[in-house]
Amino acid sequence: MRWNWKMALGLGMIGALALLGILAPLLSHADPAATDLMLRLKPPGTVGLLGTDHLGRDMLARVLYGTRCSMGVSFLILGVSVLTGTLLGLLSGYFGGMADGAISSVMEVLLAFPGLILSLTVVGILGPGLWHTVWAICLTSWIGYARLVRGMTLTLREKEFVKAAVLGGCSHWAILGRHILPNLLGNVAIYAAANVGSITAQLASLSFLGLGAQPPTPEWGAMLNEAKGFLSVAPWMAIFPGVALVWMACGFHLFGDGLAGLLRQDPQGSSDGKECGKGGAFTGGRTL
Amino acid sequence: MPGYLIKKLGRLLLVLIGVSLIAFGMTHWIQGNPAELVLAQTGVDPTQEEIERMEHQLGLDRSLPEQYLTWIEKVLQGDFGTSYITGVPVKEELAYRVPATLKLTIGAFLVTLGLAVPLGIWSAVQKDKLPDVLTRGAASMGLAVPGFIWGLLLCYWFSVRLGLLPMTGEQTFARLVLPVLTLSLPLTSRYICVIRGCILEQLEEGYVFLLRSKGLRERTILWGNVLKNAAVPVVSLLGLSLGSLLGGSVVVESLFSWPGLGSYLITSINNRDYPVITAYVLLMAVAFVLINGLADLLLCLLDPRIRLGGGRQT
Repeated sequence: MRWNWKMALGLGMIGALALLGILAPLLSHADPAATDLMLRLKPPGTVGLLGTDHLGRDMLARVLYGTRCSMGVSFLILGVSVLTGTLLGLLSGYFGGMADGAISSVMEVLLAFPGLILSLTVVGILGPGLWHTVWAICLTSWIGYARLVRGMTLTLREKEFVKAAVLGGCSHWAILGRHILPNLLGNVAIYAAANVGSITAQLASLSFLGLGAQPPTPEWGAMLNEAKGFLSVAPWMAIFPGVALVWMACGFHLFGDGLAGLLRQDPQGSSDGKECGKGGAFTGGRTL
Repeated sequence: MPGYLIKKLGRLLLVLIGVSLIAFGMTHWIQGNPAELVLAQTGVDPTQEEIERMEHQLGLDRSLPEQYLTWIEKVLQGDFGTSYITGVPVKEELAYRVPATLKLTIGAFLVTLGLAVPLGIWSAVQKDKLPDVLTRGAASMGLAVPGFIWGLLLCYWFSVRLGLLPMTGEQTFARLVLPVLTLSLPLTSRYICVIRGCILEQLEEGYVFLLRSKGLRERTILWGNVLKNAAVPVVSLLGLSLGSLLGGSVVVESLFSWPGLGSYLITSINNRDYPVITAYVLLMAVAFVLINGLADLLLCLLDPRIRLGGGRQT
């Protein structure tokens, strides 16, 4: 596997951020939730490296610990979606019939809800909170994987090596696990790399609306929501979590773009600039 | 053609039924007894008898399928119940806020087309030259970064720092500029990429080679043939992008306190005004499904391959 600069840069950006999140206790001794009303709205450099917010909490600690929440929860949602989507897609594509009918119609109905709206209303019904948001995003984000895997399984099922495995007496599960699944993983990985950015965006947007992580949890979207009211007096409250979010989003985007370009280039030579359009369509389903 | 249409319509109907089932299901997920929630508005603790009477009045003592049928009958007549908070019919509350959201969405849609079509074409024509690289870089940024970040940036620069555009107050044109821009930015980025990709794909087709060898000018080929063919996938995106507009409008409206459906949804979520939430999600899904159906129809007229072949190749 050859590396390209987009992938390397994206991975580097994400890696650096993850490292900051893991090392947060070493980099900042302040408690991200500790308030000190005497030290409200101090600009960067005066109190702590990045200043303080409207309750006197240390911004550096909040941004650093925010990495854990924003990135960790995104990966959790990604994991649940990949597992559920791949499993349901495999079942639906391989067995067909009733299972396929049921799974496909559920997907079609869920896709009838535009953008974030289903997640929003599910959180609305369950009540605001980080875990409710996680389930609400999972509810829609598995569909992309299921559709992708179902389509590929339908094609792979007709391939000769699968027929040979059937004649050789393999059980359905062995065929699915040993012969079909390994052939899908590359494309699932491309999709996941493109999708994780959209998941982080959804999570941040819901938190920004005040529905996700609840204060005092340090989460970038929620921090930006709090900072909204202080744009004129304390712009740093918005700048640092904003920069962190943009950094993470760009890192994931570059990595996804690079991976897609790399795996797409392999079979048919150069595909130069065109991945922009394809990548866009790939992430297209549910971004904001 | 008629067969294709009938099949499409049948699926549309099935999806709409599914959507209504989900919305109905939501009314049942609600924690707590709806009868108690309605009675709680009076501020007095209801007695067991009153709760039972209200349950009967709301039809909660009947079987689920029966409840669904009465519910859907009411919804089809436009009756979504009354808001728990204001006591006004949800229909009126929503109708009052539709114009503001329409202004925002249509504005964002026009800005998107106005920006993305020329930029996409330009980027494709100038492939790998400076304008293309810059446009593509900007579009990638626009795609990667969540929309509300652009909103905050625009807010900060144009409203707080420069004081050019108002953030609050009347629904004037000046007040509409920032929300419209915020809403259209991510969409514009996606359109630029798709339009560029479609044109480049068409330029490699055999007919372009033929036209070139017949001595037609590049410009004639582009405007006369390529753009028409490249429009097909873009039109199918139009319907889908409505989804990002509607979803995005919630975030943008709440960021700019724009008094539309989206900010009303957030208020209702915070107030636990369940009838409003259900009505909103149902309305949005139905609008989305119908408009996508319309886009399919338009596509079918545009592309003979679909109406004759019976399926879209994507």
